[in-house]
Amino acid sequence: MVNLKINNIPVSVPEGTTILEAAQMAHVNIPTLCYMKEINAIGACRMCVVEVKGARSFAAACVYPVAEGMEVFTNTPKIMQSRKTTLELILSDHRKDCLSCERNTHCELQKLSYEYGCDEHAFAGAKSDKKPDYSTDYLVRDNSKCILCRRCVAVCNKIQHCGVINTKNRGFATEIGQAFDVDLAETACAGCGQCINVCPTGALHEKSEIDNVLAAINDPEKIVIAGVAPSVRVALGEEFGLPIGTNVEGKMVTAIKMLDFDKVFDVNLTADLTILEEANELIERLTKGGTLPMMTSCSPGWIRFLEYHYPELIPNLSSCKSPQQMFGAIVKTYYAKKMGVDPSKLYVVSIMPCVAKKFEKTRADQSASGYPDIDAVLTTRELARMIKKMGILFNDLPDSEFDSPLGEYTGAGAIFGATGGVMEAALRTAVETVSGKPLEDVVFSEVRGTKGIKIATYKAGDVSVKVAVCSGLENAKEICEQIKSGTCDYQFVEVMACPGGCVNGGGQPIVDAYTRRNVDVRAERAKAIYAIDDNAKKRKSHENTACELIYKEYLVKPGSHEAHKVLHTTYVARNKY
Amino acid sequence: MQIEQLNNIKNEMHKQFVNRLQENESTIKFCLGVKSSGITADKKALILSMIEYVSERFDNALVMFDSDLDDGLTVFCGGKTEYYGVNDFNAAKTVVDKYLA
Amino acid sequence: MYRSHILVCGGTGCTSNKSFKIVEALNKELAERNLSEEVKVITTGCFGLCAKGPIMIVYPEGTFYHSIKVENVPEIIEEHIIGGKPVERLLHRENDGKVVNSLHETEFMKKQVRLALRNCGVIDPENIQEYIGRDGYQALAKVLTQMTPQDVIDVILASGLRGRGGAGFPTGLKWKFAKASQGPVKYVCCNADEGDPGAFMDRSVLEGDPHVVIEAMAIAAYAIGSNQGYVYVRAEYPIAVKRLQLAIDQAKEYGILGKNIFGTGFDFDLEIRLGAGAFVCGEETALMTSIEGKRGEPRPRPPFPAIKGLFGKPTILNNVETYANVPQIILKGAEWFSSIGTEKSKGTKVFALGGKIVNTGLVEVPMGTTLREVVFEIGGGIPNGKKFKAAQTGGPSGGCIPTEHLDVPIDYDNLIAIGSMMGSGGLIVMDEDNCMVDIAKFFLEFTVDESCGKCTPCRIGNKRLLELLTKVTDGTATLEDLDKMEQLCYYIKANSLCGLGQTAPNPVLSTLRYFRDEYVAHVVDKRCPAGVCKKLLKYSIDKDKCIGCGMCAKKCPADAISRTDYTAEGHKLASMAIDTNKCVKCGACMSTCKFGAVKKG
Repeated sequence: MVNLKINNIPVSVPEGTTILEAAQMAHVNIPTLCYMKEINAIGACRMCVVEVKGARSFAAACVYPVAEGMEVFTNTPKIMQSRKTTLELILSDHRKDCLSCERNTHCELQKLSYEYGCDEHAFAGAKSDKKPDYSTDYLVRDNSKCILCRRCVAVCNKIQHCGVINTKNRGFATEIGQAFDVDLAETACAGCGQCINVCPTGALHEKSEIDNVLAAINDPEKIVIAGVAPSVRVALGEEFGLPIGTNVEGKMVTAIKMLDFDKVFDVNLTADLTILEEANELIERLTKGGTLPMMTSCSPGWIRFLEYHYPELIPNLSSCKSPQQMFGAIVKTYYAKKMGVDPSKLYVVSIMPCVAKKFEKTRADQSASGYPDIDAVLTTRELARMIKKMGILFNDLPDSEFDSPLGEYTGAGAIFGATGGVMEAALRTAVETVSGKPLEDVVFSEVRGTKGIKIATYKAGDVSVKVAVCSGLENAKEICEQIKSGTCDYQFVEVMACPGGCVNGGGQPIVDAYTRRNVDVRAERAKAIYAIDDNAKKRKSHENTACELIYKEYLVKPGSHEAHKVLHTTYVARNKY
Repeated sequence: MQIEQLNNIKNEMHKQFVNRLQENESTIKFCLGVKSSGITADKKALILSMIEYVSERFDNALVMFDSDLDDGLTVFCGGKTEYYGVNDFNAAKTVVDKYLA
Repeated sequence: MYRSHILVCGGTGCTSNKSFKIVEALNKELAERNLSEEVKVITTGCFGLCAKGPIMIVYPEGTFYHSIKVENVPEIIEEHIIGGKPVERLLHRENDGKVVNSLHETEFMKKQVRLALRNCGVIDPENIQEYIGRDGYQALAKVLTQMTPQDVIDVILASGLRGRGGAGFPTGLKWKFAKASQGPVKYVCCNADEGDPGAFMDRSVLEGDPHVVIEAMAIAAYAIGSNQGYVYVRAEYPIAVKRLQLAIDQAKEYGILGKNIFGTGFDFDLEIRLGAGAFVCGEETALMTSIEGKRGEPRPRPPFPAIKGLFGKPTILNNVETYANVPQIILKGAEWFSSIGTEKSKGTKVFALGGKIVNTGLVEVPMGTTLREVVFEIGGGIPNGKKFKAAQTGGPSGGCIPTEHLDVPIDYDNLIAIGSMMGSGGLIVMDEDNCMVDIAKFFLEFTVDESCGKCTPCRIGNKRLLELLTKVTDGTATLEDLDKMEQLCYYIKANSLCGLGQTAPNPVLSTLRYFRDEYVAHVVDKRCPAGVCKKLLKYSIDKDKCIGCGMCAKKCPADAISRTDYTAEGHKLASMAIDTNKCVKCGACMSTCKFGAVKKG
């Protein structure tokens, strides 16, 4: 243990602790801008400077390791003045449209500028000339607001192993961008949106579809249907000041209804549907010698990643659409028929924790009815914005239930939001189907948790199934390499592009770096997801009566010709650059 | 390469460095007078043989023509100058040997 | 055996003056005269007196010819080689016109002690045997057979050798830390990026004596327990890169690099890594990041490279000149080295003299030599009879030394005490015609361009500082701006991540300290006392000197000159006057006037 003093307060910490971490133990917070726990510790922004007695110059607390007897001072007049100047310098080259900026009231730069009483005109001078990138369907990069913290670069390179963005030019002209100055849309960007989640300012945000959705809602010709993903309900509350990991399903449904959507359905249902199709597909491959391991296909960021980097593994992918796409497909075929409505009149909006889904809806082979399965995708953040904009007082709302006939779900569908959820849901159905015996325990705990790669083997009757679950594209890459080199013997693999699964998706409420130091956000949200499952009356996808009805009235059975037409899709190899 | 070879190269090069380096206080200078004769073929032959001879015996020496000296050999060593009326190699050798001590 | 050797400088300076053509011409002429067996021509490294290049020295006489052209070659061969009489006309002359026969006797050379530059201008750098002949690789042999790694470190520590790259960190201490770190993989690196404008000390060592760096790095590797070295050379030094690579290849051929050196079981391999045009890659951690193939940006320290450096392994990085001193310290001992220099700064320092000085070139003097000696004795003083104003040491990271400190003995600590720093050795001399504000701006423009952009204080702070300084030179600044500038300087120094940012404000602070009056003149009087800052220049006509010929008005491109009502005593025509509002400050009037009536200031 190392003993040191922070502002004359003695603390004792393990060797290797940084001053930033040690200060927290003395209940002293040192401000940061570029630091993000486990993602980015580079000492670049200089907000975390502190005085260390005897040192030649200020130390960056986020990277400076403690030493025995060290005396640190975190808020001397010189330090406070320095931090103020640092902020004022950043502000001097920052496009300040705070009033209408995406991140107004939850921007890390804004917050600190307020705390330090900054004068935004203190260092007026030339501005670096940076053009925004609107090239993709799913995200916008506005470098005029970028403070060059490099968090996005770290997440894209170190965590997601995509490496499509990095720092270019130098000095005052430094800019985050793509190689050879191509647009983001021309790179192998997976669209996972993790970069948005770590950005401290409004430099990165999703491409908004709010206006399109509002226009559809206000269009008397259109019937607007909403479908909500499993992960939205355990995170939406954060946008309204509720603690991380609060399940606000009831209020959420009420709010969406108050937004004048014609119907509010639950994508958890099509999650169950996905399981029925996918479990059937897995059993087929296992018994009839199909390509193994089979890999899940509900994460569009993961699909893009594979199409760019491992197109030879396309045959391993399940041909099932994602729950979002199945939702749109079922609404515009089954539901349209049932209601006697022409699918062209239906405008299907999915509400997702994801930005890649904004791209997914434009994929080929995703128009079961002849019209695109999904018309618009809103992120959790966009939904919150709409709710606030339309004057709905979310916190006071009573609970409502999803509409019929597409509102029923089982616990298996609900857990799709956490890494391991799809696998566990599939196992519940597959094991029971193959063994022919009801499950003793529906919980498959080995595939739960936030570890990067989880491996387990289960018995289904006489059949043994070895599974792997991974989240985060670094781990996806690892698994793909194993499959490519033939050094693994999995039969079924679940892959989620976002570390921790959809609860940590690129469209979820952004949690600032300080909170992320102390709260394991993905674990808290996942807890809420598993609580839904714990309390659900039905916990296996094949117990979903609404799904049963869909097969009975329309698709016949999983894997049928009809099911393939509506609920399955194809993939395409893509060239990087 | 072994250290012995290194030293062999060093010693061989020391010989090559005669008439190649800046002189200092400890340099012995052997100056052949060429004022009256000019630089003739004989003088050239003499100086080359002397260079050969000197290089094998001294680490810090010069053998040069002196265009202000009529003929003979002047030797500058340790601040002192001595003149020798020698004009052939054998006589020169004797003079050179004197300074080996 | 040759009776005569002709040494021609092949450093970058003389090469760009086509010294290689002189070598060609010499060889041709010698062949035609059947003298090839008697006279040898050798291309060496830099002699140091670059102002007088191309340089040629003829041995055994040590005759010093300067500014040689190809046309001079036949005459030199005829008169000197064949006739025995040096060509007087081409000999170097001192300021007072006195002829100097040998390089050693020049004012330029007399006070120099060439340790790091020992072989430059003496040997053929492309021939390893010549290096060996000058005791080359003897130190390595001694180290590998008679000394333990600890012995080596003890000697370097005792010698007092401090890093010659600028920081002056005790070399022995750096090696000691690296030795104490856990292996088995450790690296030895050489910083040959030499980014300071006007500095060419390291270039000259690499071009003139590349083997000394190889030998020193092998010794360092043995001391700390490493088997692999990298020399990071800036790509803008093609001759240095070529000669170093050749030297490495020759050393490998001779078994002095590679496995089992001298049969002692010690392995050491060396590779060159080229820079790509970034000054910041001369910073220790940025250099290592660059070698790792990443964007050359500095990393926070701790951890220090001796613990965790290149590829995360214990690494030492030393400057070329630091390494150049090592073999001699091993051979002659720590006491010998520490007997030269001052109490806290041992040995010598190589300086690249540039700017307003007669003898531009490379000099090496013992620590403790005064600036006065360097500028006025060795440097030959200021040309054109101008007055010395200041000398800048440390390049863009350093500060200026004014007249009042001319007698300060040059060493690491003294220079820091007066607001400058040793730096890598660039020494730019300024005279009364230099504007100190403009000088500060020159250096700041450089650092702003070279900033890597990683940290806020340097990326944005230095840019804003430059904008403020430009306001001063444009005549639009206020006294509040001066205060703001000074505060910003201290902020940038205290908060920047690396040495580039931390020292970028030094030229501004140091010129403010010693030449504040010039700043104030720019701000309050809107006047540049030295007459440099274009926007503040005022051209005017002395109405009494002007004879009214009107030629200036004819030449003026802005139609800014017209005739006044005033006719001076004894003149026939009325004088001309310049309308400063229309004047574009091109200076055409001044160069046209034959009567010296146009003034600038």
